[in-house]
Amino acid sequence: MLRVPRLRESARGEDGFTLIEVLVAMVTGIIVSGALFAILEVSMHQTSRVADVVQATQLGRTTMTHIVDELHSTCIASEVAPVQAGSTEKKLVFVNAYSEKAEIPSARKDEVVWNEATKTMTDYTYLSNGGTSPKFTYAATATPASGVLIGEHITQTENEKKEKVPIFQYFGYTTKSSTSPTAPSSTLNSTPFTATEKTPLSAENALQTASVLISFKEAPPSNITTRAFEATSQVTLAFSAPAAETPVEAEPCE
Amino acid sequence: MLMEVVISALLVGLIVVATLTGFDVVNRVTADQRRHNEASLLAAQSQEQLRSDPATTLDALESNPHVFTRTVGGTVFTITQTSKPVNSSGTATGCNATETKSKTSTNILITSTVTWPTLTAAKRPAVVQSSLITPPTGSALEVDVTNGAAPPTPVSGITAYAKYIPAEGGGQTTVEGTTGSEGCVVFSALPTTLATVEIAEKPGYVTTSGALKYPTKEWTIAPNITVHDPVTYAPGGRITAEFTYKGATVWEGHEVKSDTFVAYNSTLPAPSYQVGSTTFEYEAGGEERYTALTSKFGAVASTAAGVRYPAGDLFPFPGAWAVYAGDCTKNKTGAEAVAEGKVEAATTTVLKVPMSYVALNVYAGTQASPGALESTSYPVKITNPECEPPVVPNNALAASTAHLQVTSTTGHLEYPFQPFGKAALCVYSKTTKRTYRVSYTNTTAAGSSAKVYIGEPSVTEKEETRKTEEATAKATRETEEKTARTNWENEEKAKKITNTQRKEKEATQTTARKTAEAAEVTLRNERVSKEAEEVSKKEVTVASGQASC
Repeated sequence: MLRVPRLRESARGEDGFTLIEVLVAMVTGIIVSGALFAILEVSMHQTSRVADVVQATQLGRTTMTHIVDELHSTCIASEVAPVQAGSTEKKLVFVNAYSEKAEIPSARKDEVVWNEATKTMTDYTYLSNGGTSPKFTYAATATPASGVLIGEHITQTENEKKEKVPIFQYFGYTTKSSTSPTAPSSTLNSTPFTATEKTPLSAENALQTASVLISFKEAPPSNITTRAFEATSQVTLAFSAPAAETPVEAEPCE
Repeated sequence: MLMEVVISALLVGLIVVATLTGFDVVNRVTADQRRHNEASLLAAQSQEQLRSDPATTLDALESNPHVFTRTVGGTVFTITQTSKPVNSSGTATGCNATETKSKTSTNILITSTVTWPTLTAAKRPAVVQSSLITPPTGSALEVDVTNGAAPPTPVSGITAYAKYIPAEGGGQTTVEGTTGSEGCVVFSALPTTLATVEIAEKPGYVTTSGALKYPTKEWTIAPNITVHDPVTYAPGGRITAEFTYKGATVWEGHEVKSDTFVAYNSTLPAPSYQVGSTTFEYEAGGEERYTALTSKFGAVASTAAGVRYPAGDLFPFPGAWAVYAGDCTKNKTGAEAVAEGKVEAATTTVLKVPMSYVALNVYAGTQASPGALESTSYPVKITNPECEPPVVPNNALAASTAHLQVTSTTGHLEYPFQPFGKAALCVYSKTTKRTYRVSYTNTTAAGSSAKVYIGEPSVTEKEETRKTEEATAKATRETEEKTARTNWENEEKAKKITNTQRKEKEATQTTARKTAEAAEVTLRNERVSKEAEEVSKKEVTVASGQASC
């Protein structure tokens, strides 16, 4: 008789959770777990996105640097016109050379071609096989014949009006520097020469081409275009600043 | 129980907020990186575009940066294009007004700075790209503007023009630039061998000669060398002279007044002085040259200050200016006459200018009988004969050396405080039509004194009187001689004097007459020479029949 009340007292001290408590705890646990998983998921996604963006940037920069470096070596002699007729918005044809000698013994003609179908950028190099500096003749076949792949997952950028921007644009000198508050101080013509696939850059305009604007978008290997790097660079083909003339009458590679 | 639930909910809430904040931060960082990337590309593109600008356009960007905007991905980027000339070392400033090495190769450092609103709001540094441009093979012209101080200080805000005919042909080309804090402008790569430099006139600024317009200079441009054109141009100053006598502006109750003074500086081109006055007349156009007017007496006078040089046209030389009363450098007779002081840029320097004194007494009578001092006012003209013929001072249109005033009712000069040096004083009496001239030299503050006798006849008047007297004497003598002769002839007839006696008598008379005439001539000559000697010794020369001094 004496033990019953003790057992009851003992049982009262060992009361469990009520059903409500258990349910609330479970729901809370599920919510927290869900939130944690969501965080993990988003973090993973962000990491992947950042990694893609970084990779796209690196690849885009590599592609751009390749083209820009070659364009910076195009003035192989004073007042030559390095950009060749036949260049288009998708194909840049130009002459360039590297040499340790004062007079360049040989040169190369490069064709940087953007293939819209495969979204690749390829550089075809044609080595000089005759002629004298700066008027060389070039081989008919590229070395290597298949060219060098310099970029993949490349697409055209879009302007504010969502219009496709040409990969390559060609500019000549105008006669006076711009002073517009919406344009840079530049003596380059704000309107590029016509250079479409149907109407490539004419021989006359090629002789006047003093600057090339390159714009493209390079996606990462995952090919997610929203993570693409938009690369834009411009190269002015000049040895030095144009002479201080009024009007300016500068030509490429002065 | 409830507490546990509330705490759990709070914890969950905190975790959610923290997570979302984390996402937001990541998004912000990503967006910021993207904008930095875009800014970097825009800066690079801007650099390439600047490479197409001629050197003169790039030069202009130094003082007037070009700002334009580009919108990329909804973000408005502001791009600022600037340039700065750099020496061949690439580290120093390309030009310096106080550095005049003749062989400095000048390159141009172009800089593109890109900002966007969130970057500016966060006060974070802009994206900046810079590179060097070599001007085309040619020559540079550097205009160095200093203020002529010791040591010279660069002057900013001065516009310089270089005009030339391009070597390749064509019409005249003009390029311009404005000096920055270094006081210099570089015109890079001028395609010419000859250029003319013009400096735009800046209100209040003067050349070392006090001219407003800097003279045009022609420079031979040598290949690949920077030619330096040193220009000294600074805000002009002014001197105000406070006339004093023995250090005081008031002497014995009289305010010390004068009209003109000389401001001399040996650094100025000849005649190396300007004349200050109480009143001026200015040329309507051109250099707005002045004419210092005389005869307007005042306690103070100043050097010229025209509309285009309101603070004055005296160049602020490091050395002092010498200031003394008068019209020309001959008024500087000694240290006692001179005050010295520096002229500061765009400042009026006040100097106490010492005066001498002329005690003129005008009497109503003659030298023999002076009488009382004249109470009538007579016009007086004072000139410095050593300043004649008048030399036109620097930047002046004309010179005036005649100082007109009057005698007071007490018989003295109305303005007795006079410049040091020689002077010719002339008093005129309208009544007698006589001029009374006296010369004096003031070598000390005590000065000179002079007496004028209004009643004193002129030399001409005295001569006329003498001639009249002589004629009367001669007539008397001749009458007496004639009478004596007639008497003698009568005597001869009566006494039948022999021919020998008559001849002896005639010879005696002829000798006597000749002796008398010789004595007369001698006396006259002596009197004339004595008069001439007296005239030369006299203080005052009186002339009659005059219309004025």
